[in-house]
Amino acid sequence: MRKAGLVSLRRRSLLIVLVGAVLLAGGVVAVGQTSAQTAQASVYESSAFGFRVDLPAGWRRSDRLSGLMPQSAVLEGQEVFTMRSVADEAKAIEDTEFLMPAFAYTVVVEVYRNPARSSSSQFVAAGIAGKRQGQRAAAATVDGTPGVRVDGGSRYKVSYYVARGPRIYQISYVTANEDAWRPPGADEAALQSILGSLRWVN
Amino acid sequence: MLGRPSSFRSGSHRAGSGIDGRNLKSRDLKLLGLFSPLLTLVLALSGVFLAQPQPAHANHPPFLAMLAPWPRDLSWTTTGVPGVGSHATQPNYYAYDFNLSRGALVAASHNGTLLDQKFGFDVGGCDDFYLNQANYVVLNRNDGYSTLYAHLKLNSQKANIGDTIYQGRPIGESNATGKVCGSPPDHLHIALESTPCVGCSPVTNSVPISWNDIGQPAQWSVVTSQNRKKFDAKYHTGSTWHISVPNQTWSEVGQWINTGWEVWYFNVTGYSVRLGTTSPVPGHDQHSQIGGAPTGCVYMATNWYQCNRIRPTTDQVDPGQTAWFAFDIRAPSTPGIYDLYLRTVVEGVEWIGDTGVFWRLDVR
Repeated sequence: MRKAGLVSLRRRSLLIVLVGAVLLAGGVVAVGQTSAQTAQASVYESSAFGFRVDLPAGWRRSDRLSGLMPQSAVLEGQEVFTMRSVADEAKAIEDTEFLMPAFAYTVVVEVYRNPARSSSSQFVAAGIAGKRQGQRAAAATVDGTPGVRVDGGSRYKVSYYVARGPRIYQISYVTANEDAWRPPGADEAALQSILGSLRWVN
Repeated sequence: MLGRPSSFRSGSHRAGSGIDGRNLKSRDLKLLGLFSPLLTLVLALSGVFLAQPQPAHANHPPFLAMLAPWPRDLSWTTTGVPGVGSHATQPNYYAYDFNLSRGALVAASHNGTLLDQKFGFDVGGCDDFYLNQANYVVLNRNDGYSTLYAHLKLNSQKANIGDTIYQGRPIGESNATGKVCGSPPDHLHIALESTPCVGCSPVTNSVPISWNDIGQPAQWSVVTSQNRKKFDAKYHTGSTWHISVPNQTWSEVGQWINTGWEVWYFNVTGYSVRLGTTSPVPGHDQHSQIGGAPTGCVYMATNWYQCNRIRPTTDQVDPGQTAWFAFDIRAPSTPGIYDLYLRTVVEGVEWIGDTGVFWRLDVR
């Protein structure tokens, strides 16, 4: 009885070890996939809107949240940069209809049509991209082009507005109110570095 | 999720370095080897459960003093309710959707300050990249909570940032900007949430709502707003019945509460609220036998603003405040019963509020 019990215990232990090994292996594979997706820093160039940004390791352009908007008389389109994996982003988008949590810790470049060639400060004053009580505006430059920086405005923690030809660029990042929405590994330093890396390419 | 096995591994490493390896027996090592995978499984499963979205503020009492976010007496269908469809998770868990058609007025659900608004966008659809394109208003209740109204119409703003907004005041028009699915896609999305901090997203975790007028409506139910009108008044106090001798003067104060969403001003055309004479005695806009302006009235001269009008004592009466109307009435020289019916009137606009309020002099 005692021997049989020991054999049974050994088999059970072996089974547990095997299950554990499979779980650990699964975890390693999953980590490996994530690493493969995000291990390299990269440069993204927007041919549609004429700028490029440096994306730190782990960051990518969101194909799902970026796009052209030919049907809009106001907005030409937007480019969104995220640290979320495609699957995590899909989960964040699922079951929501407004901004969060999908846009938490993203860099967003919105490009507005500006046929009247308004200045960036006129654009900010008009409030087309929104206004928030207590927002602060100050002169700033983006890759040598003068513009306006707005802190604590609508939707975003920081936005730079720059007028270039028939376009107004709003280059922004947004954090989140709740820690639960922070994508793993995302931090404000990365958001700031992406904003700071923006260069015009034409 | 991916962090769990990794944390466990680093945890094991810390345990190993914290225990003197020379004192470990082989049995202990075997046990550790046997149970490590099991522990991994347990931790992994606990991670799964911990990662399940839990509605924040689930036990928060529903907020009262809220009214349906569109003008009084209009009805719309409740198309989205807490926990269902696009409201399955936070931050939208406790939000509601109502099928306000394009151009329908959206009204403030409560008093507050206009904190944030965006009305510059003109696109919407079911694609995900429209998530960022909804026009919206955030109205601060100034008690730590705010309401978010989304999918509003391009350039339909009705107020400015920092404005004091009274319950019932229009703040925008419905539309289908942003990510909107369904047919037709037009609707109003409204959520009560913790007030967003400066520099934060306008969207925070939602909290339960219970409207005073429509309660907590079920999905697909048609509900009718009892929100405030632009101009409305409720009689508060002051009406009296005096037994008087002839020619005796009585100083009176009638009080009416401004129960609309608009401010009453004494001297602004279209916003001037007075007491006006009305039926049955002396009749609509008629001169009274017991009071009137100092000059030019058919019967009695006292201290009224006009022969058929009494003005409030202050130049401005905000919604919720009580207006005082101070005026004299004087007993005629002939004995008899003399009534004076008064009602609030927005000069040149409409008669508002309670009827049947009167003063009576029983002259003996």
